[in-house]
Amino acid sequence: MNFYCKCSNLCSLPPSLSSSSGVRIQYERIGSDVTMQCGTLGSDASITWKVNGSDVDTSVLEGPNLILRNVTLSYNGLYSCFEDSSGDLQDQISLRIGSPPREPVVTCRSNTYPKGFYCTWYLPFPTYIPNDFELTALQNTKEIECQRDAVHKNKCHLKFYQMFSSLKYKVTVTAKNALGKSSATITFDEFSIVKPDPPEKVTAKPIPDNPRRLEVAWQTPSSWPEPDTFPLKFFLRYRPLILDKWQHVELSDTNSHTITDACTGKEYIIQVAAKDNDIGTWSDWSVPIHATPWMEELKPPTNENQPPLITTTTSSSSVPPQSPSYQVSATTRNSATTIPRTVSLLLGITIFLFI
Amino acid sequence: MATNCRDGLSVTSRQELFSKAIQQARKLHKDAKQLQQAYLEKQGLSMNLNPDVTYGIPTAATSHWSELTDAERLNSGLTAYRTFRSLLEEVLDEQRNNLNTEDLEFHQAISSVITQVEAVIEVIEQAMLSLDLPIPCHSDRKLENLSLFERKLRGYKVLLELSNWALRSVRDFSHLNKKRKEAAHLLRSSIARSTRRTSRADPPRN
Repeated sequence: MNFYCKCSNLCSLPPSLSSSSGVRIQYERIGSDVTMQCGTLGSDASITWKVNGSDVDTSVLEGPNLILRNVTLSYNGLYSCFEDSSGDLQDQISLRIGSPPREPVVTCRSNTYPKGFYCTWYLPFPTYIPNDFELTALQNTKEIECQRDAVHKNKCHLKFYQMFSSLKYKVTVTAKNALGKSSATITFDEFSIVKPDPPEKVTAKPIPDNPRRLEVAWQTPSSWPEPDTFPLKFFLRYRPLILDKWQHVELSDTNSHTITDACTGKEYIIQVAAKDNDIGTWSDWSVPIHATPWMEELKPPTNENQPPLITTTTSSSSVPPQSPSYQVSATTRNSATTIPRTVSLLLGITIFLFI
Repeated sequence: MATNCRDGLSVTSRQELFSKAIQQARKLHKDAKQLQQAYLEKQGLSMNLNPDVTYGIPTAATSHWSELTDAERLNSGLTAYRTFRSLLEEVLDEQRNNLNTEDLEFHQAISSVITQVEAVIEVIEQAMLSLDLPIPCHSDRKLENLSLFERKLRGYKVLLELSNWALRSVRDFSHLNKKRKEAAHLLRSSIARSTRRTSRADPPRN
C-alpha cells in the first residue's frame, strides 16, 4: 500500500503528515485493497468511521483500521474517524482512487520553421488523479531547453539547436503521479516535423462574364516566419457542393489560382493546404469557403426567340427581368410544353388500342 | 541615370542566376535523397543508420545560419561541394571496383549526381563573381585508409550530408535572392523619391 502527499515534491514525506487543512491525502490504485489507519491510535481503540459525513458499514472495520476491498472511483471521499469514548475527531483522510500513468503520446511539429518547434503530449488513458510531466530534448548529446506554453499545459516550445543537421532529435516525456510514472521517447530529424499552419484568408470570387471560372486567393500562414527564404507550395482542392469528388491543383510561387473548369451555376467548396517547398508534410486544410461562378443575369425572353406555344404563356406575364423570376417563367414554360405532349401521347395510345 | 540602369540590370541577372542555383540545388537535394535510399538498400544497411563517424565529410549543420555573410555562405558551399565531388568519385570507384560491380544503373545514378554537384559548383562560382567575391583555390583532400565496411558507411554518410547541403544551398540562394530583391526595391524607391524631389524643385513652366 502506498501513501502519498498531494504535491509531488512532498511525496517522500512520511504518510502521517497532514496537509495544511489537517486532512491527509491517500492515493490508491483502482482495484486495490485499501487500509486506512485512524491516526496513531492503538489496535484496541474503539472508533467510528464516517465517509463524507455518513456512517461507514462496520463490516469493513478491523479494529481502528478501515479496510476497503477492490476499490473503485466511487470510493473517493473524505474519510473521518472519531474516538467512541470522547467523540473527538481523530483523523481525516481524503481518499483518491486512480491509476499510474501509461506511456504518454508525444507529437512534435514545427509550424515556425526554422525558428523552432513544439511538442505536445497526452495520456491515452485517464488516471483520475493529478499528473506531472517532464520533457527532455536532446540533439545527439546536446540538451535543448524547453519553454512551457503559457496556455496549454501539455505543450512545450523548443528551438532548433542547429539547422540542416543529420543528427536526430530525441524527445522524452515522462508522466508522473502519486501512483507511478511512465515515459515515451520519440526520435525524429529536423525536416520530418515541419508542417505549416493552413493558409489564411482564403477567398474565391466569380469572374464577370466567365461562368466556369473562380478566382481563388489566399495568404501564407502568418505563423510561417520567413516565406521568402523558406517558400511554401500550396495544394488547392475544390468540388461542387453536390459532388463528393475533389479536384486538386498543386501550386508554387503564387498565392492565387484561377479555377477554369468549374461547372456553370454550381456552388463550389474550396480549401487550400500549404507545405514547405522542399521538406516536411502538408498542413491541414484551410477553413472551407464557398463560391459560385458568375452567372448570366438572364433577361426575360423576347417574342423573336421564343417558340409560338410559350409566347402566349409568357407574354401575359408581368415578371421583372431578374433571374429567380425567370426561373419561375421557365417552369411555367416547361409545364406548358409538357401538357400538349402528354395529351398527344395519350391520344396516340388510345388510337392504337382502338385499332 | 546610366549607373542606376546598369545596377538594375545586374540585380535582375543576379536574381536569374540565384533562381537557377535554387533549381539546381533543389534537384540535387531530391536526387541525392533518392540515391541515399537506393544506397541503403543496395548495401544492405539499416534504414535508421546515422553513423557518428565523419570521415572528413562536410556537414551542413550550422547553429548560426541566419547570421552568415554572403561570402561565408558561398565560400562554405563551394568548399563543401568541391569535397563532395572528390568523395563521390571515390564512392563511384568503390562501387565499380568492390561493392557493387555489376550495377551499371546505380553507377550511372552516382555519375549523374556528380555532374549535378559540378553544376552547383559552377553556379556558386558565378554567383561569387557576380558579387565580386574572390573564389578560393581548391585544396586537395587527404585520402583516408578505410576498411571496406567503413567505405560502405562513408558512402551513405556522403549522400546523407550531400542532400542536407543541397537543401542548405536552396535556402542560401533563396536568402541571397531575397536580399537582392530588397536591395532592388530600395534602389527603386530611392530613385522614385529623388525623381519626385527633382520634379518638385523644377520651376513651373508657363
